[in-house]
Amino acid sequence: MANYIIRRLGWVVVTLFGIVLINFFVMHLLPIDYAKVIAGTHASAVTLKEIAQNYGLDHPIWYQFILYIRQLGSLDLGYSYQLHLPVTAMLGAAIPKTFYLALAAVILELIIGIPLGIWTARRAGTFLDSLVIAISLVGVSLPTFAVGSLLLYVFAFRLPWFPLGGFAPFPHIGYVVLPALSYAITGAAYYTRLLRSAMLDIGDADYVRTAWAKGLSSNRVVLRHIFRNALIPVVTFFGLDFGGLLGGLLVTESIFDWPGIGAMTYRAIPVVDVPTLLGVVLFASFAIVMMNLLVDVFYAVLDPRISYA
Amino acid sequence: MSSTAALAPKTGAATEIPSRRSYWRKLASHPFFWPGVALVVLVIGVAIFAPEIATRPYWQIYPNIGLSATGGPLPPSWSGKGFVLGTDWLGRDVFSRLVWSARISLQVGIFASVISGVVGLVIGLVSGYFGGWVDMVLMRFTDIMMGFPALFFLILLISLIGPSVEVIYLTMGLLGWPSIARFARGQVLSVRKETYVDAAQAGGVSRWRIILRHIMPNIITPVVVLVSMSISGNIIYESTLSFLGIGVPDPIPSWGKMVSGGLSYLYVAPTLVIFPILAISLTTIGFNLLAEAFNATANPRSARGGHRG
Repeated sequence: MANYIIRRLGWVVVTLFGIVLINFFVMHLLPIDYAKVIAGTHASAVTLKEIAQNYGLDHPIWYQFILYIRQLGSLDLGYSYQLHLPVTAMLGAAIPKTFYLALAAVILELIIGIPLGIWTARRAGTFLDSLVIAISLVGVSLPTFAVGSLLLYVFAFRLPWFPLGGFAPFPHIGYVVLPALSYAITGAAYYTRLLRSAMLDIGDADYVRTAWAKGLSSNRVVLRHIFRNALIPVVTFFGLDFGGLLGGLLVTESIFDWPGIGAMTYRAIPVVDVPTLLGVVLFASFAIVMMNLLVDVFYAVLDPRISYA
Repeated sequence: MSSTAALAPKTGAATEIPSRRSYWRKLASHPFFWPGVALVVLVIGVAIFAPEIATRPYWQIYPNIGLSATGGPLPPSWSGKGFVLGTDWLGRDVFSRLVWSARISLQVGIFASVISGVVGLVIGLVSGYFGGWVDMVLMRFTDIMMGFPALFFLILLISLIGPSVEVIYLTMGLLGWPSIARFARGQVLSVRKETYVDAAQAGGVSRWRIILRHIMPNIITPVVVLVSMSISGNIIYESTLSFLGIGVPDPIPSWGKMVSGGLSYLYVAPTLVIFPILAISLTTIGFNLLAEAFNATANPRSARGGHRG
């Protein structure tokens, strides 16, 4: 087990290096004058030269890469053009809020999606099952911004049950419900379908037939033998889809003005605030890599058949 | 516990190998197939015949006849000035903009999917056929690309290069290939041990010829199905980018842009948001219905498919 985790960590380092490398080359190989991006299109030649010097743009590219790595090592992501604040500090303020929203969204999608998936798998082939499949198909087809806009209109404006937007810390749950639900509805539909299909696949396995043959109660077979094993693809998908979660939150945060990483990105778009956008991409990639590491470890714990050798 | 029939033990008769004709018959008899075909054909028809269907130029602003007495958008109406679905905040015809958006969305969605499909197919073929270190390097690269936060990275890239229709489908296409590459590689691995590949190798056929003439024809159908399923996901991406203000540039209309613009008028003119949401939802639902029908025919017990945005 320890070996497995060490090997996995080695791979994490390689992946992170790859991500930093790709980001660096995207910034430097595109036909863009980086100094101009920083100074704005109306900067004078003197300013451009000064910026090129300050940012080390006049050095050969391999040396620039070393400078970049050193800069990242000291957690320096530069300053936002728009707000003139260090990007690291902005991320530090935004991350806990996004984390709170993400947690709420994930809890909601799982408490809707998992029971519904089990329920509908037990009725596969019936009318109710087809109904759930049809509704969940509509669910996965809706873009997050569409769900968010409709929820805002119905449950904040038409029925003033929730605030129109904004942020309040944890005990004031009212603020988090709609932004979390905007993401969770699509997610729940997805988990329902995934779990249903995984449970139906596992229903054919030999050990399930054995469990039935032993005369166990149907609840016991379904929950202990089928559901537990069907959780493995669900966990895998959760890890794979973490990037989708961050992207979905980007949309709901901008609709509901939730001051997390998504809203930070949204505000950076119209002014092309490159350091902010780059910082967010780096943070999100790191978060995804770490999440996948966690999922892999969890997965190894959940499924004893996975070898750690 | 009520019915657990679907998960109950089965008394299995051997499944017969379906012929090609019975495959199509099964596909056509799936309840989602014809509704899916109808929606997809409708959207493609609207996209192709947009110039004929649109009643007014999509970019035209009608400050006199297109706005209400107070300067607001006109509500939908059959009678009067010929703005069937009303006008937007500038006095542009909502119906014509909806129609033209179909063309943009499909164009971006299909082009992006085709680019991802070609790149993914080539990488999957090379990786799966050559194996060894080629496979290792390509699959590690694919893993890194899969770990990228797609939406954030798209925003960064498009901000740097500048949004245009071509840039949007190119960047989406060049980021979307990893899942297709993995799938294609898996397909290659399953056919490369077949006798006909051995026979070709023994006969001294060149490697590239084996890949192109013997392996590719045998894996192309499932890859094409996967690529067509990815169209709805790319349509959602395009509309999400437009919603976030980094999609196709003005005056080109896009459903996502119509929703984000309409959000400011949500309380006075909700139809400005509801019509484009309906349009995009019907499009993605159509594609996902087809995907579901294909999937259920190929793999009768599963109900996966669909793309989150």
